[in-house]
Amino acid sequence: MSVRIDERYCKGCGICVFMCPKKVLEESEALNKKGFAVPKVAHPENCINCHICEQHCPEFAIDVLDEKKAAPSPSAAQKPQAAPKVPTSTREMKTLAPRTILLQGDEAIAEGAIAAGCKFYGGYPITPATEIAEGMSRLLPLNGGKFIQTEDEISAIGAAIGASWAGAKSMTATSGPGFSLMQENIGYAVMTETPCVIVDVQRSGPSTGQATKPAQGDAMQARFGSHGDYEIIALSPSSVQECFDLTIRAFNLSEKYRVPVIILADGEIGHLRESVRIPKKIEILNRRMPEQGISNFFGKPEQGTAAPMPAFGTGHFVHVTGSTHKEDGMRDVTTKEVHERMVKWFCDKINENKDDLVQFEEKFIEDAEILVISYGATARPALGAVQDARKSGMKVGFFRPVTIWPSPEKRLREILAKGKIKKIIVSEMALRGYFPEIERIVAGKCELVHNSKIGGEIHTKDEILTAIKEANK
Amino acid sequence: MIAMEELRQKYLRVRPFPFCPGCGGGMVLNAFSRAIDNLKIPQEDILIIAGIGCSAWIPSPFFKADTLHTTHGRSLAFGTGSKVANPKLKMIAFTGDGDGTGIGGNHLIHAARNNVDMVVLCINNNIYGMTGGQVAPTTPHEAKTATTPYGNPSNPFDACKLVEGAGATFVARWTTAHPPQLQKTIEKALQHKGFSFIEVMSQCPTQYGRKAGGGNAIEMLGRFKADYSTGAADSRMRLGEFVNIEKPELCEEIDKMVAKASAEKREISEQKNFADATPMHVRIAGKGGQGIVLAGMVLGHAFASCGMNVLQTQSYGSEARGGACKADVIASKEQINDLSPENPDVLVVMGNEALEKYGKGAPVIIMDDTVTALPPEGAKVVRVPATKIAKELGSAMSANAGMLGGLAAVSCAVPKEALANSIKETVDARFAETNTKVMEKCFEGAKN
Repeated sequence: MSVRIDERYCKGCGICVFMCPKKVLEESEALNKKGFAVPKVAHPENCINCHICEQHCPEFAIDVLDEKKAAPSPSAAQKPQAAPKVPTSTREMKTLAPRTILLQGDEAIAEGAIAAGCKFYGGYPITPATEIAEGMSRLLPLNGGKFIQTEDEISAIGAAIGASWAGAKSMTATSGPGFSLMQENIGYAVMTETPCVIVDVQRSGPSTGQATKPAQGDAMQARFGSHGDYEIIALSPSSVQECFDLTIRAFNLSEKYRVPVIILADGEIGHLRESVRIPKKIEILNRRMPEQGISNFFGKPEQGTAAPMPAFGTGHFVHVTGSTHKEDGMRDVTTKEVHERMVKWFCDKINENKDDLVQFEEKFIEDAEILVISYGATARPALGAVQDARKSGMKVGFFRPVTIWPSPEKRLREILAKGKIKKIIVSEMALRGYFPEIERIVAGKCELVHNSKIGGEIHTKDEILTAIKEANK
Repeated sequence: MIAMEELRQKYLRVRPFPFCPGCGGGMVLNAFSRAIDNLKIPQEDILIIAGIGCSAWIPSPFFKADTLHTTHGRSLAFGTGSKVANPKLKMIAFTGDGDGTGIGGNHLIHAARNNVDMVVLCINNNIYGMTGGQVAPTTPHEAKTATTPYGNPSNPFDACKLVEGAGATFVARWTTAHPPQLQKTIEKALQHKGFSFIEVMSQCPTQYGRKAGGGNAIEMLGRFKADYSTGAADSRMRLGEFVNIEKPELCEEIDKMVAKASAEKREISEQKNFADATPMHVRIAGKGGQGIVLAGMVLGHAFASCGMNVLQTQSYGSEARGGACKADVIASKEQINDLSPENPDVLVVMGNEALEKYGKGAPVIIMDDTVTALPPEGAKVVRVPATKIAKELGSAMSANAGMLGGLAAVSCAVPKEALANSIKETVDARFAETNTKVMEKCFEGAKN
């Protein structure tokens, strides 16, 4: 028998010396290059081939070799399985036919998720988002997907991220308090480029607030809620139809760019019932799986909008970490350039694709001197008020950001550059809400009015009309 | 026994490890790798999950498999998602005493309760190592640490008892001074279906040793050998396998449910072409429990299936319980922008209180026979004995459908057939038949 200590790896802890029952090993004062005292094999003749030293070595740095036996040949490297074909974009719904039906906003989000191919939902009950979880618990099993109710919202988004890496399109939904709890893991999803959809059906806050009442106070939490530098996509539905449509879009964007996508709904839309047209054809995007031999699953790809993403269990041995990592997933938390390159990529893939991402609705812009900006549920009475105001001859336009983040900055600046807009009214159920972003974009180029309303009730059409009349004086 | 060279080649992704000299972390990885090899578990089936702390760095990224290195304490939550989504994964969590029982304690007890099929290796070194030796949920009472300079005022967890109480189906404890026993127990846990928890008492020669006065690695291993045993009086020092039972496992149970549900043949209702409906704002009012909101949904869905734009709102919360409540249904050919509509064209009312609250200004009021109060002057009033008819046909609970029949007859809002179809699609199958009968009888009555 012979015992060999690999001094490149030995840290001189002495555990082998302590554990050896036959005193084969002894402490020594000979230092390796790292300055550790490597034990010496003092009495190899005493070795009884018990391998206790091997089993105890924390560094895998001792070999007990039986010279009579041939050295074992290392097992053949396992090859990754062939890349699964990217499934074609077809709609496979077992629960809905193309037709017009009455749905609640929350239900439409659940139906939209199923239509988009969602196969996993993890969630925790909270008003006014609970009906999404209830819908998913009923619909997912019918469509071959899995639902779990988790112990809290931290776990809900964690499970959604875990499921996404196991190959399932995944979603979670909550309201403000739960959204706060999810923030750390939203950052994790950004860092690990994990596609998943997070729904925040906004309610009144801070804290428990008016738990059952709608509000729109989470725009900045959606944008800046997690720590560190990042960009995010957030979509805001203003009808039940959009709850359905934008959920599908959220899944598609999430897969296309490998990012978490937020649906920033509100309690008013979540609980509203409206007629929804389920289309005949629904376009679905699926994630790109890696081809054989590819080992870079992160960062900027040579082509496409995101690196290919393997699923756990397919032999790619992918390492997923929230620590700064290189393109191959390996942790590197000390090299400035690596952190810079990766974090800039996470931001670039959103900032440089704004033309693809940013969606808005505008009406009566050409002659408008007053512009009403509103989103989510509030955009409905806002549009009604604008229409009424125009009937009485006021030059009012309407602008609705559908993509809240990234904001429709470019288009708003274009409108402002024409120099016709004298006043902008921002209507929303929040004291701060989205207003600071409009303020930033407008940058003093015209007068700004914040038509905010809190207390759990949506603006009436007349309240917004009054604000328009006031601005028109 | 696998040769060390083969063990390294097969299972290590990179070296060297970042651990302090004498750390127990590498010893756990050593025993774990041998267990995996002994059972010949295909590496591509393995998913290693880990949180934050020295424990997480034991496999991440060193063990060659899929590895999910999550946020602090959350590995079991992430892993539950992975495992539910793909139950074929062989999942092992590396967690520490802080990561597992401190910040991740809630996930630990619920993963145990759910009996999610995974092996949790909880490497307990009695301290927060990576952050520099602060008190942990496992640090002994009175021990001095970086954040308990005057001694620990608190008491430590017995992690094994904790998870046993939470429902874990396999629970064991060994120390880094017992690698062969640890390896055998890991093998058993890997073969066990359900939540397996192995606490591995491990030495932290730096934070718990040098700084907190716990001695060096050899001294700590010596104490593990001397003080820890299968018969130790202190339960936290007891070694061996404590629990090995069978219980339903979460992923298997979910799979059974999904297989059953997805195999169900479901009738998907296609779009029907009903006659035109009339644009209208209907308010249905009554008291909580009469099915007012459901009536709104049935009417709204009927309008929608006639191709109308529909908006339906209702009063929520405590207001709806027992007191007057309402559901508004607006059908229009235009986009509907007013989400808080007032001034309905028709009020359908099923109670005195609701009439009093919502009756004023309604041009048309359709009243159930339970309404005894006088309607406001000026309104066109139609009485529909819906509750009476519903009782005759079997259930007073179907009166709401009767009121909709009356509405259809009086206002021509929606075709009767659209209402019947909507009842079928919206109402629980147990009540749909009676509802339809009541609706039709009230319709005929009001028509004549």
